[in-house]
Amino acid sequence: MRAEHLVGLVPTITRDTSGIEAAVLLAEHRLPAVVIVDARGVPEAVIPGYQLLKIAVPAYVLEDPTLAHAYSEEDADELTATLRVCTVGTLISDQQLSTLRPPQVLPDDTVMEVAMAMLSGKFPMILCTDRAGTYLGTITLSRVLGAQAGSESV
Amino acid sequence: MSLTAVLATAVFVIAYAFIALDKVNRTVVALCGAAAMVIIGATRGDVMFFSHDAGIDWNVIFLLFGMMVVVGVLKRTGVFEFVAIWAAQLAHARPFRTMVLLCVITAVGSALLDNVTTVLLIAPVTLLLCDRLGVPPVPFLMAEVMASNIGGTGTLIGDPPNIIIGSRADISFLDFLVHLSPLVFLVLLPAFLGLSWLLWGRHLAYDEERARRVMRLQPRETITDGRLLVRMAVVLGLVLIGFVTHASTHIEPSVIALLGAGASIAVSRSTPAEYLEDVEWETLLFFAGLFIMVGSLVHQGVIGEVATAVTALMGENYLLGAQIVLVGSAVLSGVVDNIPYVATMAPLVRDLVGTAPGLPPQQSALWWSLALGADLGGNATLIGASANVVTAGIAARNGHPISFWTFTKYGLIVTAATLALSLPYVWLRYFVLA
Repeated sequence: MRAEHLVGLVPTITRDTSGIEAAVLLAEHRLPAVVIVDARGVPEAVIPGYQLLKIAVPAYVLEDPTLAHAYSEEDADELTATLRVCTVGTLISDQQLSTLRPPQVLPDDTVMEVAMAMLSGKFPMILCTDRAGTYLGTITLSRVLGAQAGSESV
Repeated sequence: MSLTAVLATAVFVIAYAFIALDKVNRTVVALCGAAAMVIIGATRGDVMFFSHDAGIDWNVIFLLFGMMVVVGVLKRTGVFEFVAIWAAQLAHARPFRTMVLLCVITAVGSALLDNVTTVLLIAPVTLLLCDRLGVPPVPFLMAEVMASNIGGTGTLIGDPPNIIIGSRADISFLDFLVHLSPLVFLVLLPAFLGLSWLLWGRHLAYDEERARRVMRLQPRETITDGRLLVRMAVVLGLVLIGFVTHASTHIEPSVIALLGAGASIAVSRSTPAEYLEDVEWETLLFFAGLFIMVGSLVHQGVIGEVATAVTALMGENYLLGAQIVLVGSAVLSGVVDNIPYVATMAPLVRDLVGTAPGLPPQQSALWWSLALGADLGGNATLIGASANVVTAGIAARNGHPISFWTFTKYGLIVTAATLALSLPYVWLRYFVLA
């Protein structure tokens, strides 16, 4: 089995995508991260899901987690306000979002090469691109484990 | 003066300059300075570790360590967040009333714990309240840290300089309460709150809809462990009783703090990783390095010679001496951190007038002037006290940076006002009414 057999083509985002659209994409596709591509469709980086969650929580609550208990249900629901009004590009520029550059594999790489790339990047998702750098899709941890275990979930 | 004494003075001045410039980590500077003192022969192992006058002041180190453990366990209960949100709701989320209550809580907290810990606990909840109220948090944070420095002035454990003075001058917790608390809580704090209205309060707008967002917060939910809170209230109460009575029981404050730390660990059943999490090892090492450096000067007779020179200048005019110490300490504490300043000045004042017990009021005024000047002078600039730096860091991380000059603009006014009240207090209490 090769990398091209493990690739799942999931939608990508650009810097102009709003934070909330990125969050919806993550939730709908149950992804650990979302891929940002440039105007040519070449992947720039990925945003881990926890980074988007971190933006939804005010910095002072991160300083003092006890304060999370003080919010009523109604107020807690308002927390996505920052994600609604800011684009991903703005959040990266303001250093509210940190991006990652996960390893990339080629379509003809073996499962072993894919597994090693994922382990070396210490991130449960890697990108598959052709030799020109064009994005072909992502490979998630569950797909690699499924392939190695011969599971039908692949 | 011997060659070793000259070298020791040079090492001390260079290290002090590095600490004041704040370009290199202050703990590294203090430890390098201490190492240099050993290398040049200005101190020895037995002096560093076992001399009460020229060595590490273990009373200060273990008092700080014990209280760090107690506060670390106490803060896990969520009581500080509860009190702050409850106070804001008590003030019906009116911005200035909220500011006043938060300042009072911070001042009292700083008097009973220490001011760095108190601002660390109060700053995040203040940011939450200001966010809900839609008011700028910087005035609140500046008011709180200044209230913290004022409140901490009133007790032995309120501010690290007081801990050093208490240990070096043999001044009890009760003495601090009797001599400084009346000034702090009856004069300085009300005056500061009035000043806060002029500086910040009158510019804060009230928005009814925003206020409702504060009233909807659920303070009781922040109490994460009610049973632990009750147990810790008992422990803290016993520790405070121990402090108040230590002059009679002859149990050192450091021993009381260590007993309190032990009791806190026992009642919370914390693991070592948990109860040591809030111990600021770097601060404790900084103190140790500082004590070795200053102790080397004492051991080499440098402090004694400076004291002799000052005595020749001052003569019997203790009023002038007290006023110079009060104002000079405030000015210098604004320029450099007040901890190294007091660590240096305490042996000097002891050489001038001796330890506090049994001193005539006119001479003991020098000790109280040192405490007042160093503690209140910490408000003058952003680098005047550790609590200021900590608060500015939290504010910056939350997108509300406090510049050096923003702080100093208000800090100088507050320091001038509090000094203007402290000078007549010292004069009346220790010279006119003594």
